[in-house]
Amino acid sequence: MTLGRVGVALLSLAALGTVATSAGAEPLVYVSNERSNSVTVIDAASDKVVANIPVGNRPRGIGVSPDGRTIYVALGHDNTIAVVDAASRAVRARFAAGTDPEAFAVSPDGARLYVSNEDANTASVLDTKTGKVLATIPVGTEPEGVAVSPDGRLVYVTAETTHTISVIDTSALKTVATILVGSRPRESTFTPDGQRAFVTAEIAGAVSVIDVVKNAVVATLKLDRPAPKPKGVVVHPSGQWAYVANGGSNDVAVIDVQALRVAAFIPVGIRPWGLGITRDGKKLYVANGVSESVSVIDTASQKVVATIPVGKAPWGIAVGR
Amino acid sequence: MTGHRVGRRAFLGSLAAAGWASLSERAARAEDVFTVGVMLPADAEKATELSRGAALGLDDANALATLFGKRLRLETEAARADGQAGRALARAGALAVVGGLGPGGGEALLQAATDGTTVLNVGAPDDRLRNEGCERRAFHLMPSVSMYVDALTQLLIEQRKLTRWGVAGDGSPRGAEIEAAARRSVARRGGTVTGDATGAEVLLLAVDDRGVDAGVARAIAEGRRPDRIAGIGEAGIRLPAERAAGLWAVGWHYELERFSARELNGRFRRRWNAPMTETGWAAWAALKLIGEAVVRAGAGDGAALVAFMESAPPFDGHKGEALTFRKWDHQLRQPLYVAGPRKREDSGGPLGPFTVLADVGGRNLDALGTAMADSRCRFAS
Repeated sequence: MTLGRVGVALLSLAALGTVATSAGAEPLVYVSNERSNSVTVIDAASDKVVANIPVGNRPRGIGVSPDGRTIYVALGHDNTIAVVDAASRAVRARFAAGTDPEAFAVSPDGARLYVSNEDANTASVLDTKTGKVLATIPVGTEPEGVAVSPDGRLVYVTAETTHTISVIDTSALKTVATILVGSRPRESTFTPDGQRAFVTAEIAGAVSVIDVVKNAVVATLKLDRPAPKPKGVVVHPSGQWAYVANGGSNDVAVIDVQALRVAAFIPVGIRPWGLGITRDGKKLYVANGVSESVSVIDTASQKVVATIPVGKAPWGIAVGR
Repeated sequence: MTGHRVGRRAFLGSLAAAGWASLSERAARAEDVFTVGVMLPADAEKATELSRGAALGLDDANALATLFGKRLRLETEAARADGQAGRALARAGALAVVGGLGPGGGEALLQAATDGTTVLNVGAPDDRLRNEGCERRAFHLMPSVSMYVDALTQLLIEQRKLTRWGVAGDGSPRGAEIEAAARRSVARRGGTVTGDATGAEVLLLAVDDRGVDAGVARAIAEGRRPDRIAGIGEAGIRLPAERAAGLWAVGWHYELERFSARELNGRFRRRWNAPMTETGWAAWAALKLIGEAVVRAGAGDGAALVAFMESAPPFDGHKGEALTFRKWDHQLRQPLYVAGPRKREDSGGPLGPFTVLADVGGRNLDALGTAMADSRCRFAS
């Protein structure tokens, strides 16, 4: 791997809002608890809960700034995104975010939040310093998952009713392509080299694999489980594996990115939803919504090595510092 | 003015309100345009429900289709028993016809299928249309009588252990179908249908829509517990608050929230300032499904549409499961719901007297309705 590719990989991980930025430090893992209105903080070194942060009503989407100093949490019933100071663990601001915000992504440079507005069929671009809306961009019907490409140039927004990905050019701040994927796409993520993206399609029970340059689906991977209902998806920092949380079949699918096949299913808790992976790729964290726990998967052995009780209805996971 | 004319006018008005009437011919010619026929029932209220659902479905279909250079449009015709409506819509170039509501509406729709048009039934629950009356070109989004009855027996026998059932019929063809379905369903789940309805734990109203109010009143007058009266379809949950009683199997409810039902119900209410009924849901689903066939499969004629729907595409009806058509009778597999009276102190509020008490079907959707082994449908090739 060249230095350039390392840089791209790091950018991509930062774009996911799921990694630490200080080399060598064990990260903290943040879990949004939809029905206890809090964020659970887990120390990845010990896999113990070290704090609970009250944040507001119905927290779901969660992300961390690239420097790890700020945690963002979408508060569905407050119509805001809470801005949490990671050091003090206190909410220091709330950004207005349309009705019932659910999902967003942090730009690789930390300057922007890209937020899906489910009721309005738009995506909003927020300035993280001011909270002001820089642009509002029409996307598909019932938008949800948001992902930023490793170089920050593209944003993917899933639309559950039109079954599409709206590809947004972040310079032009407009949709430049629309890609038809499986039924009810929920989340997407990019590979570290930015060449491919993986999209979970909940009703199709499949993962659509997109060639990012061609804006085309190059493979559709059926998840061979009864009603798997895939939701969360992350890619290993090596780019070798993609992980998919199957909310219906209570497992995590492991996808071989090169071979484009499902290599394994790892049983976890009930209704796995959000995923987060550490910067070194050794640990995968899985929010089990009904079990009210987080499963910790050792990615080398593909086994659950710890199960951590958290709040009610854990939803999203972000790995910070 | 006839009820039909009111419904048709309301429907055309809704199209204009949505902006379709303002589309220029030039813009329309730049796209591949597909016509979907709608058979409107004479009943104005039902016609409105159908037209509203179809309009929202058209919105959703076109939100997708226009991204790919295609567009759907609607053409309406009054449902008539002589088959003329279907033929008129076929002459208008309809890719498919949506309908099935009102007396004779199901037969009129199936006649169109017999005549060679692909049809989507969004209003007729009759079992016979899915059995001896089935047609290869007919697809049923409306749940069948058997599905509704199975939803009730699943909840009341399997979960609540109420095994002794009585049937109060009105002698109507619909009532006869409900009673026959009940005898099959109750027996399959280990219950019994008693000859003496007075000793039954559950009294099933085997009546058509017009008999629901009187059936409930009679059952209450006989001293039945309100939560031990059961029936199918939305006619029950339309009862006024003072007569709210019974458990009603329905295909949709405007209070559903899970699986993005909240979003769908919200879109419908914002668009029409009215709740989404099960007719509205079925019509919405029909248009959305046709739109997906046009985009995903490039279905440009009725045969291609049949092929797409027979390929069991996982349709998202905001019910949390992949909805597909059964290959043996073209009935859409789908979860159903049982609605019942909400708490008395809340029953007079803006939400109405009935609320959703249970989801039924879950992952075993073939437990609702006619199994392949029991089906009397034989499609002509």
